[in-house]
Order: sequence, then structure tokens, then C-alpha cells
Amino acid sequence: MEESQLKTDTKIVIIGGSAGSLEVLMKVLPQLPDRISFALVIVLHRKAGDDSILEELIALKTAIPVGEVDDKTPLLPGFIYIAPSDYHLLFEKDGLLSLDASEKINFSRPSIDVSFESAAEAYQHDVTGILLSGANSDGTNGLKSIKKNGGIIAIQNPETAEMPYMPRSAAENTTPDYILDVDGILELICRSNTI
Amino acid sequence: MIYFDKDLQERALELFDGSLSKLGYLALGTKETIKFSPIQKKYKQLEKEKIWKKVS
Repeated sequence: MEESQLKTDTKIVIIGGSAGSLEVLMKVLPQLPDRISFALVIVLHRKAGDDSILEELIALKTAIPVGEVDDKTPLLPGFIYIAPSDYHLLFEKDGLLSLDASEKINFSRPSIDVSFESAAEAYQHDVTGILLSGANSDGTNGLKSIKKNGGIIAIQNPETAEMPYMPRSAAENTTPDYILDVDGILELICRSNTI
Repeated sequence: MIYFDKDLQERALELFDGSLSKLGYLALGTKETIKFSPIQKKYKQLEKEKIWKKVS
């Protein structure tokens, strides 16, 4: 993609998580407003397979429409996008999402680092990255990129996360803007809403 | 096709479209779509499958 192409001014809240993160989402999602001014992107480590159980589960918990993610789907504010199983989810500067089936990163596909780094590069300071519970170090490098590009980074409090390893790795290797419990995460997302 | 950028995808889709006769089927990869392409209006999708029938 050429550098000269204008990026959109869409704001993005991107949430990465692994083991123990779905419970957090199940608490947060029902409390979000139905209309959001940003695009909410969710990247969870999930089983490979051609099912859409995660998408259906999330759609049940929120009135925010869940957009189907195909390659080159436009990323629009007001929608939730979920990284499909077995693909890395990438962001293009012209406002499209793209998918990539190349090798796993941090034993994971989708990899949180891949999406965070790609979002940071394409959307710079318009990105808020939130890393939840998990049991490997995916997400740490991605948060670093978001921070470096002027975005905001938040980490689920490792003390209260079901699986502390992932948020702890990020807390020790980045300079998070926030370390939050579930309520704080909800508040941060709500504060990003300008509707 | 997912490794093509949007412009190249569009060119590929136009080639497929040009080579396909009416009532023929276009099958893409599981995460590929013609939803955002101008050729879409000539096609009808089979349920939720990534298969489209050329209808005009």
C-alpha cells in the first residue's frame, strides 16, 4: 500500500486476549452503549476451525453490530470486528482490513502482536490497545508499537486476571497508560466514545 | 487472492468475470468476497457460501 494514500480518521479500540479473556469480554460487552463512535476490534486466541461460535457468542452480548470480516472488508466506526480463526488480521492505511494465513506468531494465529502492530502503523495515535488475560507473551510487542506511534495502551491488572502471564509480560516490558480491572476497562472503552 | 492489494484483486475479479459465462459459478476462498467489488451486482451469492452465480 502506498504511503501517499490518505488514511481514514476512524478511531480504533483494539482488544487482545487469550485464556481467561472471554469472561472479561462477556462482562464488558453488555454494558457498552449500542452506538459507538469508534471501531471495536477483538483479537482472541481461538481454536482453528471453520466455525463462527465466537462471533455468535459476542453478537449475543451486545447490540453493537458485529461486522463480518472478509479480506479487504472496510473498517467502519460503530461496528465490532473479530479476527477470524486461523488468520492474522491486518489493517491497511486505506481503511480496509486484510487477512493473512502466513505462519503463526507466538504460537498463535490470529496473533495479537500482528494486529496491534499493524493497527499502530496504519492508525497511529487513533489506536487504543487493551491487553487482557492470557498465558503467553503475545501482545507485548504490539502494545509497544501502539505506544511508539502515539496511541494509548492499557493492560488488564495481572493481579486480578484469570491468567496473569500475558498482562504481566506487557506490564513489565512496556509503559502502560493504564493497568485496569474489568470496571476500569469498561470505563476506558466508554470514554473513547464521543457519541 | 488475499495477498493481492485491493486494486490487483479488482483486476483479477474483472478477469474472472470476463471469462465466466452467464449462470456460471465463481468460487472464492473462505475469507474472500466480491461484496465490495463493482462486479457484485451481476452475481447472486449461494446462501453464506463463498460461491456466487453470475445472473446477468
